[in-house]
Amino acid sequence: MSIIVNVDVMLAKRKMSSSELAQRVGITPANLSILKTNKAKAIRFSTLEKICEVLDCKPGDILDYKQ
Amino acid sequence: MKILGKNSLSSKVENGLKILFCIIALLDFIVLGVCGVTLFSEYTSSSMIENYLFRIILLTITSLVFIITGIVALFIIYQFIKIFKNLRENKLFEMNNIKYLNKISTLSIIMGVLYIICLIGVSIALNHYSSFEILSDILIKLLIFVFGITFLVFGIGIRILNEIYKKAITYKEENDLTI
Repeated sequence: MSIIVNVDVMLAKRKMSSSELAQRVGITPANLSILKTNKAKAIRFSTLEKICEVLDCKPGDILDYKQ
Repeated sequence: MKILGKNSLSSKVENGLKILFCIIALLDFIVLGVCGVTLFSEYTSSSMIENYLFRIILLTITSLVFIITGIVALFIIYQFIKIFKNLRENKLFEMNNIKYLNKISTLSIIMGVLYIICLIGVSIALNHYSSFEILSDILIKLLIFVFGITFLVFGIGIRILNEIYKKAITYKEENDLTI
């Protein structure tokens, strides 16, 4: 898949654990793991909005596109 | 009444299919025996009988068709048992079910074709042995024709429904992987 999810990078920058992010965003750790491992087929705007809010970043900081 | 899961209609159907599997297996052995005895008696009978070779070939073909359709039916029921086992375990949208349904579809089409071959064989035999067709001859032909067409339509229908089922699985996977 050419869309890369860089949640790990942002988590490291914010010094936040995956479980904390999952809890604050309101998704299960399993779903966050799917997102981090690029297995996700789609992401809801509401989820993206919450992740951006919690990590204090823009969607472009989390999502990247590689050909 | 529960349709899916343990102690549901699907688990009861699964048990029914297991019994049906045993009955058909037994019937297949009986048919095998009857065909074997008939063929043996034909082989050992006098070759002076009119159309001896023709009768032997025709009997062999029809016997083979009956035995093979029995075995194919066993395979179809076995695939259904596997599907109903998955339904009992609440594994509804599994790719394995697609494989089983595909096999059922292919086997049903094979069975339909075999019945049509059998119909041709029986038609030739009946036309050869009797100068005029009696009602029972027509009924036998009609019955085999109905069986053949039913299995052909069933096989094609299952193939089409399988494609819909495959799409449903894809949608479910997408939904499951939407965060």
